[in-house]
Amino acid sequence: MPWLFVLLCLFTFTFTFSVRGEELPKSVQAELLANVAKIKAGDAFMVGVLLKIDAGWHIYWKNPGDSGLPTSIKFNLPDEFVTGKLNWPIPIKFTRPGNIVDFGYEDSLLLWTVVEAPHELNEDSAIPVHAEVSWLSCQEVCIPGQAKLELILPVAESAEIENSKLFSEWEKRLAVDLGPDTNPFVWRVERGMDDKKSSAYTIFIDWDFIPGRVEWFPSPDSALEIDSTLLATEAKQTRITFNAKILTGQKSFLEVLESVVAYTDQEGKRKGINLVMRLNE
Amino acid sequence: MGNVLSIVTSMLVTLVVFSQFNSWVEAKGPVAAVGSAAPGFTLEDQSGSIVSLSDFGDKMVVLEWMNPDCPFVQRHYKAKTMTTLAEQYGDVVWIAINSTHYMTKEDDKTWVEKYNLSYPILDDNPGKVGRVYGAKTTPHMFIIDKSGILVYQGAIDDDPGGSKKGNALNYVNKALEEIQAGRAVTVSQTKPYGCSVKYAN
Repeated sequence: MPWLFVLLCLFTFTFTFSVRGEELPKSVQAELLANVAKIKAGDAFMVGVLLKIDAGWHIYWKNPGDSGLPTSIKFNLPDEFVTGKLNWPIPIKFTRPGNIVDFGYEDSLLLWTVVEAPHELNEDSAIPVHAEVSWLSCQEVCIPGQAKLELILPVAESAEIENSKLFSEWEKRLAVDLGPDTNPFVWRVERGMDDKKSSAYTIFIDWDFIPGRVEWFPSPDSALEIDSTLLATEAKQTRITFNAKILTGQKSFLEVLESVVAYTDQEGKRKGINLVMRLNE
Repeated sequence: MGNVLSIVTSMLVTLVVFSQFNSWVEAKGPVAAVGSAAPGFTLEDQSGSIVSLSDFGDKMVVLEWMNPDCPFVQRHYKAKTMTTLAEQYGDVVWIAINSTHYMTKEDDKTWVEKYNLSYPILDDNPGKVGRVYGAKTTPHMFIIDKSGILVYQGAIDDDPGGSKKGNALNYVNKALEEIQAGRAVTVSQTKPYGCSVKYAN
């Protein structure tokens, strides 16, 4: 049956050709959502992009780590609407052979912002919400992706809540700032020996309890390189040492390094704290 | 039975010693550092010809870590970023290195032919040279001056997302220009961007 042979050859050829990178499979689906079905004038509401990631693939945090590309979203609403900052849930670490450490997400990711509606809104109008998303999705190979999404929300006298469970679940996955009341730890930074190229720092974290799986996710600005990171937790103290160097030829007005300390609490929940530290002591 | 036991034992011992050695090498970290002598290497190119860093004693050398499966590399080759530079700086030795563990000389040959490359792709699929250099991404660029010192390591340019198109600042071009003019390299290190190098476990 020669036609079967031809068919088999064609199938193999197409399959090899497509895996090799000419026709790339899509590994991420993007959807634009809001936590309201209707917008009420003067109210704040949330819009976010829900990214569903195929098993085995991952996308990246705002600091992707050693490789990759940050996921990026641009929200666009009419001028009178005020859009807030992008909310990044606590990432996870991907460690690969060759000591390559990346920061990102698998399964799914909601990236959202809080929007303030103006006090004057025409009740018969509908508000177009646009989002441009781009990501890099990696497994053994990497595939860049993007989507242009639109959501039209009608204006009404009262807002109608939607997707509230989804948004509140993801809100729980944000790192929080240290507050005036109960914090899970106290901390300090010590600056170590400088050589002409870089400065060494140690962060001492003293916990109120024995934390699970402490991880540190720095998000330096582009002129600063953080490397040689070592993290060790003994009983109720975590020590994080790292080198910070200003990349030669780069200007940096940086004095502050932001990072997230992720940990598992006594109830087994994954939590995070935003740390902001001054580097120029 | 005793023979089998001693063979198995010596195999186990070798395995343990070997894996310890490997992790010692890994724990020590990469050897390449800007300002120091670039580590030597000997690899085969896509045709099986042997290429050593020491072959190019008194020339400038650019090392380009690449992976045909990486969209960053694909974008740069479509835009002729590397090939244009290699052609522009005729007396600089341009060497591409592929440390992707699942790739072979055949894959490298296909790429050389597809883009009609005037420079070789060295087969480093065991990843040893990549690890010694601390190559983390594809692309990841290293420039070695005529006296064998590493004078630049990092990204090809300042445009990971590819949105700047013709207006990206090409760090390799800038460094090569400065070296040729007898000046010091002003930007000697940048954070490389790209896909992670796909090393073997």
